[in-house]
Amino acid sequence: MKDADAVVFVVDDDSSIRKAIESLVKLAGLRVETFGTAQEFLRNERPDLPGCVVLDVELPGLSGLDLQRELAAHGIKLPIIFITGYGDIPMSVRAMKAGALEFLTKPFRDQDLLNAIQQALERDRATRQHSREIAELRERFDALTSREREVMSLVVAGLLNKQIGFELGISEITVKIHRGRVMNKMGAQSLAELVRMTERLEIPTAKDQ
Amino acid sequence: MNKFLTKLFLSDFMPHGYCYLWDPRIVWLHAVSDGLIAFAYYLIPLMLIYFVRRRRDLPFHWMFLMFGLFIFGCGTTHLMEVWTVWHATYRLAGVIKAFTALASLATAALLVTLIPQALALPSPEQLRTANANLEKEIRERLLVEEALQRAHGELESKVQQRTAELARANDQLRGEIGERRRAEGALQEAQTLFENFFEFSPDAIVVTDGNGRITKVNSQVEKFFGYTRAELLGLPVETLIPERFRAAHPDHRARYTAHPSVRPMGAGLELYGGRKDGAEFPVDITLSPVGTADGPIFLSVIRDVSEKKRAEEALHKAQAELAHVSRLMTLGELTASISHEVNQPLTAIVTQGQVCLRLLALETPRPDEMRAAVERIVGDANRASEVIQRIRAIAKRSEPQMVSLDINDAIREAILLVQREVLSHGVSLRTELASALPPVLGDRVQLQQVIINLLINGVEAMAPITDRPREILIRSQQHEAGQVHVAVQDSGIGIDSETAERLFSAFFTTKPSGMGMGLSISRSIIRAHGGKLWVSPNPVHGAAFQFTVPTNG
Repeated sequence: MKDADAVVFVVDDDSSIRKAIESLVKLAGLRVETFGTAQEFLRNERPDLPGCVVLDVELPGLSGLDLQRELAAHGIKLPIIFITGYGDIPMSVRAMKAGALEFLTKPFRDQDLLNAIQQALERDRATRQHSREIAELRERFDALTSREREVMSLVVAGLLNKQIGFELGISEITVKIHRGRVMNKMGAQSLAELVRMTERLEIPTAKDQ
Repeated sequence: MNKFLTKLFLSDFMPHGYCYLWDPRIVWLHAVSDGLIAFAYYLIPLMLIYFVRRRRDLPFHWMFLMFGLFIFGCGTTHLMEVWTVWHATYRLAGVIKAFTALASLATAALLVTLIPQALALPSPEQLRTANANLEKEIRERLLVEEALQRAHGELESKVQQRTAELARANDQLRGEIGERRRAEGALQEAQTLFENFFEFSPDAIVVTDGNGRITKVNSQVEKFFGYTRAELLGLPVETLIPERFRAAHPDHRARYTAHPSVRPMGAGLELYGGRKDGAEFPVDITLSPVGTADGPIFLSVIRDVSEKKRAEEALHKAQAELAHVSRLMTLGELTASISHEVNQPLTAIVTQGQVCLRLLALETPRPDEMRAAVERIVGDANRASEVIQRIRAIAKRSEPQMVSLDINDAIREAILLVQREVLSHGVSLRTELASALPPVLGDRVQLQQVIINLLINGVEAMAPITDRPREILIRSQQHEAGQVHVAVQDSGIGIDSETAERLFSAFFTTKPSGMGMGLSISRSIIRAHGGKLWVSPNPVHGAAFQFTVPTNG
């Protein structure tokens, strides 16, 4: 799984373990960055690449679970793979509920870690892809005039042109023109696609109001 | 009778007034005179009767009564004289006169017989003289008697004095005799007492002469050493010393004989007695020189301390056992931390091993990476092994071994065992270890046990703290000369002085799960090292547990 366009961050206070994981991940053809403490990781600037964190739970100072909270608070959506020496159930449940991707107990099988990393990177890629698409849609949506947004909102709510004209106090012809512009600007091929776009953008529709 | 009485009071004669021719002057002269006489004659017997009644002691007092009767009769005749002036009852008057005559005659007759007797009575003058003589005589007699008595008294007091002197002398003599007898008795008693003390002393007592020959032993010697008294007398005292020490003893003895004093023998050394059968037993010996007319003799009081030694050893063993149990309990508390300490290198080993396998599976070998991975495996395996050895050292049941050690090393090793525990409680641990400390003399495991105890206590004391950092600081420094000082300072809830007093007693605990042995054992360990363990409050928060241990040399 050679992937030079992804990076794996390893945070563990034990240098031997850091080193071992680093060797393993490198051998799998991935870029690795290692950190001894959570603070060190937070201070460091991360490359804008798909990535994931292999995170020790029992870190001195800021613990792994603390770091998970910290990242979430900063809107950093890096997938997290926890590794722990204790691995009790309440702890893993807490970590998974907070969005952890995997919870591995030391010592772990190399393949389990690599699988988890693979999965994490895919998820991050998907997330990043999703974010990109949303950003593009947002851009398109931002290009709409306010009248076009009104029309779009009513269209996705399932109203007929005639009804929309009545709602907005404009002629059906004018509605048709606005509707054509909306479809064009948003790049939607069909009404169904436009509806999906609205959902992804999480725009409140007329139906919700 | 009646006729007689009537006749008696019949006045058939001429009243007497006729004789006076009723000349009133003569009539009244007689009548008044007779009346007055009668009055006087009646008064006199009354006075006499009164007198006689009051003076019962008078001689012949019946004579006075007789006089009274006779005067009374005379008075009545005079009264009758007055009566007969006017009434001629001469018969009655005659009877009364006759009665009076009888009374007068009787009185006169009695008086005749009485006079000689009355004359015989001494006159008052005679009586006075006689009395005076008598009194004089009595006075003289009294004086004589007094003198006599005085003389008598003097004699008596003299006799008494002499008697007392004699008694005193006697007493003194008796006292002296008693004292001498007592002294003799006391001497006898002391002798017996000494013999008893000597004989029945719980210690064996050996008396030797100036040449180290045994001259006297008590029964305990026979019991302790297995020889009979007869066997020992005359033998050199070395007989009672185990074979292996015998050769050196005469020199010791010679030195002691040159400078004798009362002192324990071989201070600081373990001494042994040698039995007849060759067995040895531990003893304490006190030597005392005694001066006698025949030169000095030496008293060796020998105490069998086998029991004491055994008790000491048992105590020692029990303490070591307790410390060991406490260490095991501490390890129990630290299980999570310790397993983590082992698990970390094992995890690294497993992962590196897997890396190696992957490297081996590659078509093009990468020997450099292989070597690096295997070296790391070896390093981590050693690390895991070290942790296990440390734990084994602590868990091992072994006699304390006092060695020269660097306290800072001991502290660092102890920290390795508890650091995970410390971290998992959100506590930050700092050290300020003085460099170039002199080595201390101690048992590494026990000192680490104390340090670990203090660290865990500190961590637990800070569990309730949420409003400030949880910090532990371990300091080591040179204390006074010959002492190294270690302090474990926390920022916990602190300890009030009342609790501080009880903190070190066994079974005292403030923790719900604690046994209350940790500090008690820690203190006994530090004491056994010749140091001190105490607690003092920090200026702001928490407490500082600190101890000292003597340096080696």
